[in-house]
Amino acid sequence: MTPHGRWISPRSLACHLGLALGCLALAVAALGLGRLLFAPAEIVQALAGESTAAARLVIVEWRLPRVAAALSAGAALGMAGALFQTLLRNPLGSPDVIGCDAGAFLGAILAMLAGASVATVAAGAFAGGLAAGLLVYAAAGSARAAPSRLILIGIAVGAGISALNDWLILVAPLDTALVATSWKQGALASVDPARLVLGMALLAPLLLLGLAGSRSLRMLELGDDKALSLGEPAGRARLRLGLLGLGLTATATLIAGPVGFVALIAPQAARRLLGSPGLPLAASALFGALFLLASDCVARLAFAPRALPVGAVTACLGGICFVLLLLGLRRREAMP
Amino acid sequence: MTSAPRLEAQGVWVRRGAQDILRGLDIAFPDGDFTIIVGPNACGKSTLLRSLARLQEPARGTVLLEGRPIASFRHRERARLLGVLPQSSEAAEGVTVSDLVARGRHPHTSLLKPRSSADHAAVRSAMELAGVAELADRRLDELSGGQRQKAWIAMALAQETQLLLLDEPTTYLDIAHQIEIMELCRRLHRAGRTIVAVLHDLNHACRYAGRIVAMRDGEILAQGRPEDVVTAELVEAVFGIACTMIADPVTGTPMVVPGRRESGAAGV
Repeated sequence: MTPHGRWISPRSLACHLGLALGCLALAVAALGLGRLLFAPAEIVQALAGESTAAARLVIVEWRLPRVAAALSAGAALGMAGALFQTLLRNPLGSPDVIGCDAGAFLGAILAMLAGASVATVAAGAFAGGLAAGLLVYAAAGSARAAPSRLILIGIAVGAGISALNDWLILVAPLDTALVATSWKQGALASVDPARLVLGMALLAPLLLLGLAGSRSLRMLELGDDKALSLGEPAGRARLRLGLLGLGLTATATLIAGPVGFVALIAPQAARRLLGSPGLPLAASALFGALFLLASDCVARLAFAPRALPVGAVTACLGGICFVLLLLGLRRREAMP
Repeated sequence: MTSAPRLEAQGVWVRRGAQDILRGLDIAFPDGDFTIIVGPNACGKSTLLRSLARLQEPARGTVLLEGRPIASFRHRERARLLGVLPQSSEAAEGVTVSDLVARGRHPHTSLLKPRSSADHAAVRSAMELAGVAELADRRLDELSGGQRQKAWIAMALAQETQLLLLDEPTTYLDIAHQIEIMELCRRLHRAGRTIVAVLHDLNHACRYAGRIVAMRDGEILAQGRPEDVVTAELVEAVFGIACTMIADPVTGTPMVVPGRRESGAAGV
């Protein structure tokens, strides 16, 4: 909210609308492009159920779940990144860096190995993400530990859990191992419909809760003492928003696997677009969705017919964005 | 005088590790008072202020706000009655002055009750009162230390609380800004607010305070009007330095001129 009486500044409104329209346009492009090409009109017909069976098969059965998975996992990761980076006061403090998505994935694999249902796999992902978060938190010492210490421990914990995940996949029965391997690389192509539907159903309330937490987040930016002096119980708000961030990370992992870099890049890019003082939650979610969908389109189309794992593309694009961010940061610091 | 004090500490005891920071303090702040707490480093004055504002839970004793234990208030409710400016000054990168001051309306707004024109008017008048209205669109990280401190005070003013607690509001500021902040406190006090500040500069404290509270080792050694309590003996007892007292040539309030230590530790 702006101080001058308007509910939202023109720039912020334009950015949110632009990002939303970008997601829509890219979604249409992703549904239309591929070995078979479809015009937007044909896509609308297919979605309305008025097209040929073949077009319907390609657009609705094959491409739509993939687009939906990319958009929802990207939005979840973008918002989770904004929450974690604000809580940890550090742009490196995103959930993928500190091992939360690896933890969620570990929980999911364990549930899968046990032959559990989709709902139990989802519960496993949540439990795994929560366990990883608690482990990092406990190992860092206390609530008052320096965020940089927590991040370093998180990187170590994340690396350890990733190694454990790899080992589990190696020793797993072949069919489970195949599913887990493609899932781990963030292969949106093989997204499981049941997982997708469950993930999206979980995502909706989490995103809404996140947006509702925006007020608290703006207070926590001022430091715990000032938040408390303004009537925001800082400890409780931290816990609530941290759990929310873990939930979003686990949901994204459930849908798309542990995809890196989205949670790291999206909030920073969104903040620069908006020119806002803190990390904007809604814009981070929108940017995350756009970024993951764009990465998936590149993964699917750039080297067609050979497809890349989307995690490799987000790492490449994310790496470039990251360097640009760092350069921008240096330029700004160099200015008088 | 009103019957009950608006803010009161009863037997407040704060312990950190094995050390007692506050040893069962009793103190009351009647309405319309301008109290300045002084004392050497680590005497517990900031801890007292933090306990009064519920930024810290005392191990024993209670703080009463409007006659009720402060812990029984909901946080938002308390923040509408008591504003406090703690010492830390982290802020989100790139936040503007008006955005910062608007965050002072947090306890008056909620998800279902977004900012109204009354909130914007409060933000505007807080900025004018603190003298940062013309800096409204500037970024906090571009401002000088004094301007930044005034912006933080404006944020606390936007809370529109009757009580305002300030923890070392003039530390790290040049003398012009120190005077400006103290004059601002005086204006707020005259406009009817109850102000409690922790301060390092004894002479400023004597000049502006209606009442001085002198602390040492977690206890209150003296309290009262500066003219009545600030004596060479008190300064010696509180800070352990010898000094000469003269009348402030401008205001006539007591003025501390530190002198050479007569004996004791001098030759060590």
